[in-house]
Amino acid sequence: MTVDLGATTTSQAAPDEPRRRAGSRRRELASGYALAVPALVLYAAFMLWPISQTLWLSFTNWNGLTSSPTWAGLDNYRRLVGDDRFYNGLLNNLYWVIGSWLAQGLGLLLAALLSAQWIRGRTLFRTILFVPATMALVVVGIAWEQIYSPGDGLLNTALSAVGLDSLSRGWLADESTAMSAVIATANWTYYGFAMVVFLGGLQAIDRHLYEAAAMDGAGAWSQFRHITVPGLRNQITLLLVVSFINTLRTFDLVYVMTNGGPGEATEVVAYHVYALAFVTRQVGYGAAAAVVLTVVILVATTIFLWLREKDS
Amino acid sequence: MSQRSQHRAYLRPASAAAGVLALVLAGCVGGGAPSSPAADDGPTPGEDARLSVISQLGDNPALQGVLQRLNEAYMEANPGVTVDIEYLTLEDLTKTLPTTLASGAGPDVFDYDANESSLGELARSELVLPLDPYADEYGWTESLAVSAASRTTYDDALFGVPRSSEAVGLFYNADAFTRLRIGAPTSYDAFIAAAERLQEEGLTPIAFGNKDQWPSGHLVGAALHSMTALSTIESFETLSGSGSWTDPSVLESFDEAARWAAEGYITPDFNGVSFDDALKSFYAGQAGMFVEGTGVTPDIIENMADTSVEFVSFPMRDEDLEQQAQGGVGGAWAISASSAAPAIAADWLDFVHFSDEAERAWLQAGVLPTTDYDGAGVDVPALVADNLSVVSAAQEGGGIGYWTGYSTSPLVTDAWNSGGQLLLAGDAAPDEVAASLDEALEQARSNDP
Repeated sequence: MTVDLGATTTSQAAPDEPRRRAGSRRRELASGYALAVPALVLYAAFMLWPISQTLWLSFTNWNGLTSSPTWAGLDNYRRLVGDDRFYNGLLNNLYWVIGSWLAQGLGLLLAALLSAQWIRGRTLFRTILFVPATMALVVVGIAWEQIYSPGDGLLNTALSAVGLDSLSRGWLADESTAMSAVIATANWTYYGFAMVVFLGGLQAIDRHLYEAAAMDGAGAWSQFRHITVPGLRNQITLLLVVSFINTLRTFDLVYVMTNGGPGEATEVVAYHVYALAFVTRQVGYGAAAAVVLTVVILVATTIFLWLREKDS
Repeated sequence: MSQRSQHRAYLRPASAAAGVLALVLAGCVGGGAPSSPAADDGPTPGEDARLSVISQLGDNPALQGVLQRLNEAYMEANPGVTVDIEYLTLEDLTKTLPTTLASGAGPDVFDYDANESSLGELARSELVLPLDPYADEYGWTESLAVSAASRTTYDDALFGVPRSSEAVGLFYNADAFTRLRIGAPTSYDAFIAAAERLQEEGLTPIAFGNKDQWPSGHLVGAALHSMTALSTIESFETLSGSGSWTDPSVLESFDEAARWAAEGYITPDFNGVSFDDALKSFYAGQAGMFVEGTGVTPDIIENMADTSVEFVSFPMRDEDLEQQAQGGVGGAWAISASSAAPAIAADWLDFVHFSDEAERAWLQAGVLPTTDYDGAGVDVPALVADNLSVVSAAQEGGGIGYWTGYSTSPLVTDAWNSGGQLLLAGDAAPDEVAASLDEALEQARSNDP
């Protein structure tokens, strides 16, 4: 009888265990989802909903003031194909992407220098050099606008002081220098971020590789080229992708410093989108340009990452 | 001579101003049969209400003071009404107001640019109330000058109360001109001779900053209105017109303005200089002339109290044309379509713009009237009297034209902003700029129902 009871107890306990585990797993899942709900709601409200709205608006004509946009089908996209100003913006963006590589190069150079053990006060230098990366772009734009100011701007004053008056000009007023001047400002804010990322990467490189290379007679440049750069591949990829995305969607500096001028010399696609939607009140057309810009960023980033993966 | 006594020297007898005003404002809007205000007017005058007002005087503390005093007087006379005024710069107002109105959260009353491309667009989008019933009820129809009212009338309905009459002319530093023995720039040849002489003396002949992009409209517009008949200008500065920016006289005027830049008559690197900085260089005596609208007069009076500044009509390059001037009105009061108290809003407008107290206060501050106000008993600074003479000369001559590139549509304005910079920098030919303006105008006209 006792055995029977025991057997009964044992036979009842065996199937209860997985049920308990399953119940516990369900509860964990439920609480996990519950915890994720606020983030999902926020993501849906502030990302998915605006994205879907933008996509929908791109198929309409709307001035942003009337209550009802009118359906336009693919008209906005067809118009975009022949829009020279959109291509001009895209070209300016690409110029900016290439220009941003200078900031990464500078970041890499500074990181390599500040890794040298013989430099005293490295932490202080790193902190000082990183400061521009912490500043709001609007503030940076206003400050650099003063630096570039024609006549008594800091840059022109400095050039005059060293006898280079002939180079003085209205840096943002001249069609041939305005874009480079804006890119230089952006690079000033960006090199610090690149430097910090590279510094992190440098710390992960085995010091013994440098010692071995030195024993084999490799000089500083050779060590940099054959050890440092390959060791920073992941950081380089990360920075190229991040700067590519940031550069293509850049807006603040152009808005603050030049309004896209002179003429359209510094107009990038994001500024063009803003002007279409909020200045000329072609919200639908501006939305179409924004959608195309997003697709360009997604496609280019995907190709870049795919090539990187394939290469490695 | 103390600053105070110098300031007094600017004052002239009211009769002079009154005489000019009588000329300026000859011919007001004809009175029609009074019509009733809208049925759903919310609270009516005498009842309690709270009004929100947005003014574009954000960067003009002197004029803010005038509006503030008038508002306080209104609230004192109407104890049940509270009026909250927010001051924004025109730039901030233009960026934020349209979407605020579209969301239904706009102010009851606001002060906006008065032309087809700005207030007209809000009217077409049914975001502002037609004011005709109030105009009839309060007598605005009889009081407003025809030319001023025309800038806020779209599809035969009045949508705004023009706040100030404005015309672009030529400010010059009379002290510098006297010191350098330069003749007053009252003819085109004298204007060019003055520019050359100032240049020889190491001064900037014409203060000009175009970083903000819109000032090119005023400078090139001065050349345009000195060489092109107003009827031609009207044909491409209105949506209902059928004219083109490629008219030969327009191209010639673009060429002339570009020549001023090429000859170095205007501030160097002007596309990198802000309007404010250019104006400051005129204040500081670094530039001898300033081509701008009468709207900057209060600022010049305030900042150049120790300098003798005079204002003359921008001289006609084509002497076969009668004197005309670029301009129109400097802003207009409008009532939001979503206002819960439009009748109170109209009553407030009537007080702060049309009452004798308001007309006098605005004129004394340098704001030119848009009504038949005769200025009797009002002493005005000499520069304001000059303003009135310039407006009068244009009214009696070929007329007051349009804000170049800013009158028809935001599309044209956008084309102007980049085209004006390129034209003056010599990076685009007049016909290229005109073609881009025509393209934008054509699109605007095709969008206009």
